[in-house]
Amino acid sequence: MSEEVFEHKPAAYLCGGCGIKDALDMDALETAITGGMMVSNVKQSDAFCSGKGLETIKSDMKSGDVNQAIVAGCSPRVMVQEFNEVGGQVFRANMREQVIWQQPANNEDTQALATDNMRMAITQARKSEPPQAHWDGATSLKLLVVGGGITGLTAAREASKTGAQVVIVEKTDKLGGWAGKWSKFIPENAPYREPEDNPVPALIAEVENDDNITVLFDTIVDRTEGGPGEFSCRLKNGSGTNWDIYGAVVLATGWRPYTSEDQKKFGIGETDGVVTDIEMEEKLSSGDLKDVKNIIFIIPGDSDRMVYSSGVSDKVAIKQALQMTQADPDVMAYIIHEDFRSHGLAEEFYRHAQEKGVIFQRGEVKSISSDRTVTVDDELLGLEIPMSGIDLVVVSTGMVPNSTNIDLEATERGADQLKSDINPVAPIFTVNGTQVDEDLAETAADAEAEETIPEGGPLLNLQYRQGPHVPVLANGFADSHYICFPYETRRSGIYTAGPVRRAMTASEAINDAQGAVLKAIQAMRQANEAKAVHPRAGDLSFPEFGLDICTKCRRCTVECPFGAIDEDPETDYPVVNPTRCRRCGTCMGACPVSTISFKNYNPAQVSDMVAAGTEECPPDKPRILVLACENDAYPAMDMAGINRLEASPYMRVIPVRCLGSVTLLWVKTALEKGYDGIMLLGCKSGDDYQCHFVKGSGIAQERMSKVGDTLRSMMMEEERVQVNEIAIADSERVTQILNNFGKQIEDIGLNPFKGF
Amino acid sequence: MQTPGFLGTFIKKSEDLNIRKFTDMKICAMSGGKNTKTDPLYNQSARYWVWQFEVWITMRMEAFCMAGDDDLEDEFAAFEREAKEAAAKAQEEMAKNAKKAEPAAEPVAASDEPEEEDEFAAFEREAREAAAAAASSMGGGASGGTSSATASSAPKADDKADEEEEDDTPVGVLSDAEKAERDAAQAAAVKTINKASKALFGATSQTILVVGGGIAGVTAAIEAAETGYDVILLEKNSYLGGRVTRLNRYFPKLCHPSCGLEINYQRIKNNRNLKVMTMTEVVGVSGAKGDYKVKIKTAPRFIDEGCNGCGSCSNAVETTVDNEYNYGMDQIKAVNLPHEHAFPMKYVMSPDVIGTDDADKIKEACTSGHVDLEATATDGDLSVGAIIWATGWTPYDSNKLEHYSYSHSADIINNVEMERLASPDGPTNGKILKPSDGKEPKRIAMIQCAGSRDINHLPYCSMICCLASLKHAAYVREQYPDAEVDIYYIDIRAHDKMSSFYERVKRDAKVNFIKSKPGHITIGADGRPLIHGENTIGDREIYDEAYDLVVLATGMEPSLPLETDFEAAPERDEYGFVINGSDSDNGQFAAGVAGGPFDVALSTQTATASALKAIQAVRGN
Repeated sequence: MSEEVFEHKPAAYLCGGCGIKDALDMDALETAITGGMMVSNVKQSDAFCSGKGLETIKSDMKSGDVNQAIVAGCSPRVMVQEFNEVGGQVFRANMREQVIWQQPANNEDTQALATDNMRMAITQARKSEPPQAHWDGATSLKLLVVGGGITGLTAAREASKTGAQVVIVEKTDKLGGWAGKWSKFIPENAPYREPEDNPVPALIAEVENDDNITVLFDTIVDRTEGGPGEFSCRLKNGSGTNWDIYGAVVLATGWRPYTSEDQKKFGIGETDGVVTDIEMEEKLSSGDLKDVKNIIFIIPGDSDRMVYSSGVSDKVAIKQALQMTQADPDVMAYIIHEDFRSHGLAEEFYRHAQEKGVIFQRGEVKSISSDRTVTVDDELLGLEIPMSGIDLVVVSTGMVPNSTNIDLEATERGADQLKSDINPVAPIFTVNGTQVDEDLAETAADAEAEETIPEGGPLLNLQYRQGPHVPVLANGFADSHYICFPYETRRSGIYTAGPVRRAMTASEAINDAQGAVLKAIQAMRQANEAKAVHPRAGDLSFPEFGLDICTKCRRCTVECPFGAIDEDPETDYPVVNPTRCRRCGTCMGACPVSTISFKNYNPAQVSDMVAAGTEECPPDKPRILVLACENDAYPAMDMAGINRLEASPYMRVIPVRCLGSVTLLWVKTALEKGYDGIMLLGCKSGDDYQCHFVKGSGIAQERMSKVGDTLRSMMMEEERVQVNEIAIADSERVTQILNNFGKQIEDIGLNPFKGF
Repeated sequence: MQTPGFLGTFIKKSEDLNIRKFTDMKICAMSGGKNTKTDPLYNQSARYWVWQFEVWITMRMEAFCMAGDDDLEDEFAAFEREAKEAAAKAQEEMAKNAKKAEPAAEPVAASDEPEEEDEFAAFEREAREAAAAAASSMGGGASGGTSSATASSAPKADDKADEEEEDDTPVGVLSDAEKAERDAAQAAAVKTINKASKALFGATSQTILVVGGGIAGVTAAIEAAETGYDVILLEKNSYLGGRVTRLNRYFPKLCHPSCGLEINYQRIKNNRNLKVMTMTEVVGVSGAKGDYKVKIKTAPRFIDEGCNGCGSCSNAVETTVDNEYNYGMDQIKAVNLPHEHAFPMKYVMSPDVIGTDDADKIKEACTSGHVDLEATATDGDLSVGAIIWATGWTPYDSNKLEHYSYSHSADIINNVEMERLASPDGPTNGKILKPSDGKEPKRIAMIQCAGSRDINHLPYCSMICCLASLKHAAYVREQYPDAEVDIYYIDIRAHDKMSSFYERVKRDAKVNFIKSKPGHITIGADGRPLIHGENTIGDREIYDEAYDLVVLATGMEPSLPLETDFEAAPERDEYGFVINGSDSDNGQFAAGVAGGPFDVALSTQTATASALKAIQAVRGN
């Protein structure tokens, strides 16, 4: 633990380009920096982002006289690559997008804003050290694949082909899973028309002959500790348990069939000749269908679970119908369906089946008699049609994701965790929070009550403070909530693939497994280099805990959206798992004693920046602190600048990693330091949350909801602190909101503590 | 008046702010409580907090003085006494904690250095042995080598009583025996894991080429680059983001695409393995996996790489050109930043300007000399090991749907234009207005399968159009509480969990679903589009309905032309979608809609998978 003392050697670089020097008094700024801000090394140039200017910074860094460059110029969102190459820490004071592009030139308030932005950036540097890797030791690069079905087999093979060692843990005594039993596959290859041969046997052979892959049968994961690069897993089977260390996990536990009550009414298991589509596969494999001349496939759509897998069921029905007609051209096959979902290129399969004489009938099955007369309420004809002489009725089954191990008892501790924190039928809100229709809220509440909670015990038995399960969405799918980032589970280094993630065909699962393996290998590499995974990929900083003033309040362990912080079972102190951590800083915002910090982002630093923003504020001028999410709100404000939208000159803006990292200390400091208003700008929270750190924005709102009392007891108006949700496309809206807030504060009057 | 005393208020406030305990600690620090840690950060923060505390007290005293609280002095004395007690207690506890608090579990340290020679092979062997040993100790069917077990096989569990059920404590406590077992496994693992980076991230001199910088290409490129491989990303436009950057929001979350793109751009900016080339297209491919020669052509931007995005060039001219970003629905300056979220944030000039007076004005306006009027298209050659085609899609040409009269009315638009109308940075600043007269539409129709599922146009289903129309219905209903939306459809194809989104929209009584594929559209006497067709459900009513705005849900065509003169062209299906192929000699893969009609989630999924396939290819697998 040899910690070298970092010596701060700051230098300020004032860029006059892009019209900055025409709008600001650069020499006055320089005087302010060398004077009050106590940075003696100040340089000016017309372009520090390129050519000589950039060389100046580089050579200053190289000389050793400077290790922190504070560049006043464009937004920290631009010229990032250029400044990444200078060889030291770079801090940016946004003079362009959020100052000269939004403020009148050569104006007292504009100059004050620019000066304060510089002071805040210098303060940021003063309280910042270059982050260092949290270790340079060993990590595991062995991949654990849970599940030996087509997804798991593919994952193992692909990982092995990419150079990884793999262990497959399979719950049963053989490989292949459900897909291994299928007679034929839904076509995924051009021309997408004919059922394809089952690739599973060949895949199994490949895996069994692969020296990099070990298969453990009849085995489950009994316990998982650690994090990416260092998952300690205890595997368990009949002959005992065994610990091993893995770098990442691909969860490919697949699905199990679901038959709704309504389907049972069709007579599955009772009426002779009524079977599920899974039983049908067995019949197709065994060829036990010689006497079947008339066959009906029913695709019911009565519950979410059925509907969620309809894209699969519909294609399965086509495949089975085609198999029947191919085997015997005299067979008449009917498919009864509602909306037929052969989406994408599967339309070819659908059309091919139509060409081959399969009859598609849109409607609802009303009844099935004991002689298998199927009465269909045909939607197109508007008639109930009895169809008799049917030899076999095949009813689609739904797919229940195996996001738990149903062979195990449900644990009390994990119960809450299995409730999805996203309601898929929540009423549609706009970004502005206005609801389309009030009635929707009620229906949504109804729907929420019907949520199906997965049964069973945990798959990995994660020894995480936040529970043993991998978090799930509605109906138990262990999927990502993000459209852009389909593999982002809330457990770093654990990637789900295949039908446990969403209902998909076996062929689709192959592609999905490849994606998950890429992410797993990437996570192992990032862990190996002590870097953060998505979305702050490559970040070396990590939260450090000053345990001597920790009060063991557990807020950090409870609020971490990624379960990165555990509690020491003996001492109760928080224990951070750096490779699980995504560096959002939510723990930092949660900590009531502000003893959690990052080398380059910490409570004291931002608190000082807050203070710096109003240090030279004249007593008659308002000041508004804006703490803005750096992923969405801050870019939106930049874009307001790009659009040259005029903004209040009294805003002092500090980008934050996530609104979840905002601690009450900063708010308090702001009020003490004479800010008249505080605006927190975060992402959308709630069911359709858009926060990249899942809960950060919501947590911040929760925290700030308690500020009102404090304000009142300080004899201040509650309206002085506000939280708003800003989407990145809201460049115009964010300007309006801030300007309106400015007006509101003017009406309320200035902070009585101003000038202390 | 029941004014709580100063101390009472103070403590209450402390609790409100959750600072009670930390103030104890601060007091402790103030009263000379010794900190055993030498952590500079701790000292810094402690000093800071002491100071904060002083400020707080001062402020409170001031407030009470102002309020004229006579008992202030007594209260303060009481406070001091309490504070001292608290300090003593805190100090005691701190001393206790200091003893207990150990640094967070250290990661397994790198053990004795292995010999230099044959490190790689040794690693592979050891890892295999370890895996085999682990397997055999489990009684599992280990495949592969049967080399003798190394020390890495952990002692077997005795299956005794300590096989306890998980307890309710947040972190299940292991028995000492179990801990020993785990620690032994960890220690044994160290040997096999430390050197692994060389096996898994083995150096390759080959580069991965990603063609197309939409969401799929950006995803494929950054995923491969973050896994440690060199990547070149080519984009035909002057900015990344492709089709999705022109969407207002994604279904089903109704979130803005620029949100995820911003994250991806940040990843790109901070990644040294990835090189982005804009305005560049592939004009030739030859060679084979591991050694493709790719000919590229870069169109002139007329503004060089040094552009800092200041905009003075754009301010210097008034001439405008069709705004491609908004599908030509409005005009943009002839030299422009294509849109507010354009990445890279660099200006681009229309070639039309060359030779006009504007050209000189523009050159003059750029005081830093980044305008190059002599720029011409440049050719280049790349040597790459694998190619990912992420060339995306083009909306099916609405003019080909003659029966839908797209060209006969400004109020018949297609779905990508609808996205621009609804976008805050679109031609109407996000307000959905009739293009003909700028008025608010009250009755809107969406026609599904406009071109898709039609053997005369696109035989396949484009997958996204149903969901896009549901989303458009939500856009309309958000802006106009009185507006009605009719959706004409064959099947609503809300695949897997998208069905929830369908359910959500269906609940809106003002969104109607009509199962019918309209026959044709005419223009009524009042200039409104009239949709004619037959309802296929129920009494098969023939309808002629007038609308203010008609949105054709047009499908997606692959952008990469089906016929190319590439020597080593990627394998394609009959529609031009790139086929990955199972041939092990293949080093060309598809990401996103280049490989099939996908929505964004599937595009990013396939893009992530393609990154893996490309990595395998450049590794020689």
